[in-house]
Amino acid sequence: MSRKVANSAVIISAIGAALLAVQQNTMLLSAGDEASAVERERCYGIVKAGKNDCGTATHACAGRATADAQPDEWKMVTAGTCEKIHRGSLKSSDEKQS
Amino acid sequence: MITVSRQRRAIGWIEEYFRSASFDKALPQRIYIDISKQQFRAEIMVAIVQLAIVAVFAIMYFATPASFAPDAPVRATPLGLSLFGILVAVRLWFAATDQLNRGFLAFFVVAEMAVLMFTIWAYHLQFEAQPSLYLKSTGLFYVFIMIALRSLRFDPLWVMLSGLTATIGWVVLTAYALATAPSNLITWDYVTYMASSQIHLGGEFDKVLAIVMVTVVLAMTLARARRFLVQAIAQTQAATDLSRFFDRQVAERITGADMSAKAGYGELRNAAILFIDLRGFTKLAATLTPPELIQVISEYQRLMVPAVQAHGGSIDKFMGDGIMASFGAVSPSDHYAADALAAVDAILAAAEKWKAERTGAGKPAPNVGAAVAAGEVVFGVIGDENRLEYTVIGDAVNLAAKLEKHTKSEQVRALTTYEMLELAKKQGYPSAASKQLLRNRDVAGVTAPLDLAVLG
Repeated sequence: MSRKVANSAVIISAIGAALLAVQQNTMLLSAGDEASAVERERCYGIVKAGKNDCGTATHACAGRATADAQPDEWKMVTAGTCEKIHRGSLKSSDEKQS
Repeated sequence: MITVSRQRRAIGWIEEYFRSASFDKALPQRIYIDISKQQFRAEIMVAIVQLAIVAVFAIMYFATPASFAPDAPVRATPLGLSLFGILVAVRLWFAATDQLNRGFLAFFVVAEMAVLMFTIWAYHLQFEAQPSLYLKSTGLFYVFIMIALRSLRFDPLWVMLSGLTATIGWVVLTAYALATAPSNLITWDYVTYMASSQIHLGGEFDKVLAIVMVTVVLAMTLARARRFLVQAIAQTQAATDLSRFFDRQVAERITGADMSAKAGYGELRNAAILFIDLRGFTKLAATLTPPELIQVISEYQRLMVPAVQAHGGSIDKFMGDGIMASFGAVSPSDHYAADALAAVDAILAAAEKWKAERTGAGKPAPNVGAAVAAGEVVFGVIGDENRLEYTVIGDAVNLAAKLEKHTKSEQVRALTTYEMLELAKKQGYPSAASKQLLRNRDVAGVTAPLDLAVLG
């Protein structure tokens, strides 16, 4: 295999790998029309146990909420909807206290 | 006030500092090549370390739970690691196939830092928070790792390029955070800055300054290190070149000595001295053209030198077609006599084969003569301060030279003294092959008659 062909192969596979990385880790280049461009906001106090998005003062991960509707557990929702939900709050119970 | 000339002088000094460290065109080409090889290895090393870092961070990322919403629009860490890994892999390919020139390398250095800056920027998308958040991310520390990695290659230029990219990158990140902020995010209250997503311009200035300082310090360190590298390579090359003019053991002795050698240094040793000579060389010289003559000598020396060295002998000097070697002089040995006789056997066998080959090819084939004598000699340094020589001095040396001449009058190929043969047998020289003894011989230049042994 000549050097030129090998170089082209390396560069093409690098570009391919880079596109794959972008496709895997962002909403860009995805097949479905996911609502990627939608503004979102954290909504506290509305999550079912085990369905929360992420960290609080006591844990760092998704799915760790132990009870329904904990005031410090949150989920990302489309901006503007949180305050229309029963018990939905844009502020965590921790922030309210301080 | 600084005058223009003083400024020029300062700039000149800085240029000098870095230029003297860069490849001096005055260096021999092969030293330049040697340094390039070093730099090539360094490039491979940088790439491998970077890949290792990517691997470590990838493991950390996948082993720990994500700290952002699972359906976040961007996963910055895996994206950044993938892009960085791809860049490094492509650079490794170009380095390993020896295609990496300065332009390419510059592109990769800038691109790597750009990927890191992009990843830091993407943090705010991952956490779905406002851009000013990324200015407080721990990603800043990776900037220093990236700059430091560039110092694995002994070239201040790449560290400076990397640092410059990082500096510009951080300024752009700060500007972007400010420009996209919905309201004025600037605060001059340090506590507010620490506890919120507001921006303290002094804090960002500190970060940029730290990047610049680290870059400058590393670049200066590399400039110095590189000067030493060039010196070290040039000197190693010189030592290698010069050591070829010495016997290997002697060269090791000179370079490995605790004290530098000086004239008058000497050690008493029991040693054997061997003289080898081409028979009829003068006659041969008259019939051959100079190139043919040199060819004969080099063929002969290429056979004799390894035969001597294989038996622990050390070549003391070449004297035209003559070779003087010592056994047990450079470093003490308790089987020097046996070694010397074994060497003579090897020499005679090699000479016999050589002669047959040359005769077969229809070329003139000279005989080889050899003689050995053993005794106490002084191994030491002679000469004056500026031109020294390690050599052996003693009766055994003179006797071996005389015996070598005496082989002609006895019409034999190799001689030694009866005493030496007995000594060699005691030291383990196989006595199976009985040697012809010549009793009471008068050797030219030796007062008392000697008992000699014919070696071949």
